[in-house]
Amino acid sequence: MQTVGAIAAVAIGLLVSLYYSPPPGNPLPLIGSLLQDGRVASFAERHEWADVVRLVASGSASVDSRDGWGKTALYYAAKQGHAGWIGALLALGADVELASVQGSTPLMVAAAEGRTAAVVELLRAGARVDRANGDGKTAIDFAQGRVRLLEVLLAAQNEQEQQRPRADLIEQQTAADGRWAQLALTSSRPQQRVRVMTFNVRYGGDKDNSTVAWRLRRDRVGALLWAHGADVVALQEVLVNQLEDIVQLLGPLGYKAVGVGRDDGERKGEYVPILVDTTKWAIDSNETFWLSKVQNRDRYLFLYIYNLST
Amino acid sequence: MPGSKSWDSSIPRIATLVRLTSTTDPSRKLVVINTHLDHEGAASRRMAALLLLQHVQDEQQAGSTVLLVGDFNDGPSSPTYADLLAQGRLVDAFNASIALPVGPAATFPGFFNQVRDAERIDHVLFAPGTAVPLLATVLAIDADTQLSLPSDHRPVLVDFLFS
Repeated sequence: MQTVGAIAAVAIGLLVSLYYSPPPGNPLPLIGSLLQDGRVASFAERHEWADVVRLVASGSASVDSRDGWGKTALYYAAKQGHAGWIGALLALGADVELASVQGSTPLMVAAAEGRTAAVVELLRAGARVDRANGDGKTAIDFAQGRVRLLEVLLAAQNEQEQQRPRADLIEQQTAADGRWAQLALTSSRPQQRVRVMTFNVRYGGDKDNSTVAWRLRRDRVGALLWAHGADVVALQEVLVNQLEDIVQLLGPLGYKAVGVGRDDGERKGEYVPILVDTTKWAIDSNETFWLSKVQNRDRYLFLYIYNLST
Repeated sequence: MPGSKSWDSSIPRIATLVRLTSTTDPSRKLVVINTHLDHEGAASRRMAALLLLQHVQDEQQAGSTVLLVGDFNDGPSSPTYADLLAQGRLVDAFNASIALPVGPAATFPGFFNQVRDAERIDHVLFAPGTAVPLLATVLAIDADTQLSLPSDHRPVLVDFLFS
């Protein structure tokens, strides 16, 4: 059996050497393999920390070197609960999230072994509490039954969850900044600011003695529109008397309104009018369409097909 | 056709479209479509949104920057909203605002701040291309007042940069 195993090992070795080619972009794959030194994790497993630091500090091995189980020196330091060595490895640049082939992170193993000081040290370095291993278990699962440790992990999880949306926003923000820069670089004509407002002003059908009567709200709505000075103001639920009031208030600034009442296409029923600051924009044309089947048979044909297919 | 309504719409619903040219740069064309979708008929909101999308595409093909704004009576979790934003045809200014959006999340607090709908139902959507929203704001006009509020909705304000 030993002979068969040896032949198989040689055969696999040959195959690997035949088919192995260095990854593109890394012209010196040998350096990578030197840095990836299994001894680092082995020394760590045997508590030979001086040797670990000597190897890494001399530059001959990566601090994140992994052994056959994918475990790193940091993983073993966490397992053994050596908070001091964890700090030293992190200072040497160790990756706090590197998991074993089973998906176990240093934080999980520290929690599983009940190493509270190690857990605290790893959390301080930003270890994620919500990481799950290959079986779907998190550090919190491993800490069950250890009250103090659970407290520490739950508090950290709480804090990390609060930070998460912020991280998403930063990502979104970075993308947005890119768009602005791109626009500024590629645009040949001068830029223009366009302020747009949409505002459902609530129809003025309430009785005059109501606390929400239009006569009590009119000037406040007018002042809001006046103060914000939008180029284009889209309003909803506007009866003709409301529109006339608003045009009277904003007309002196150069605003003109377009739109018709929805009941008769003239003055009856609510408008969804658009006010335009004509000092900035010339009105070329406008139209009103009813959102119904009869408004435009061609468009509706598309909707009809869409309706059948959904 | 004036007064017409379809699907499960409770009342006739319309949209106003205006075509504009910048007074400082006549090559700059802007089309704004304003609508108020039905407050009861979910199917009519969805069908109306698809109808409006066709108008948006027509105007875009004519070379204009197009904005679709108004009270949609439907928030970001609705199928109407999903249809409008599908395949990136339209973008919500609040999702693309370069400065983080300012103001409360809801736009329909009611006259007495009851928060009738926790979601933003008044939207400013734009066809991506020449317009970039720098700042999207929901104006909190309902802070600390004993008087009736100016409206049961909050105004939504977006400052775009046009290239």
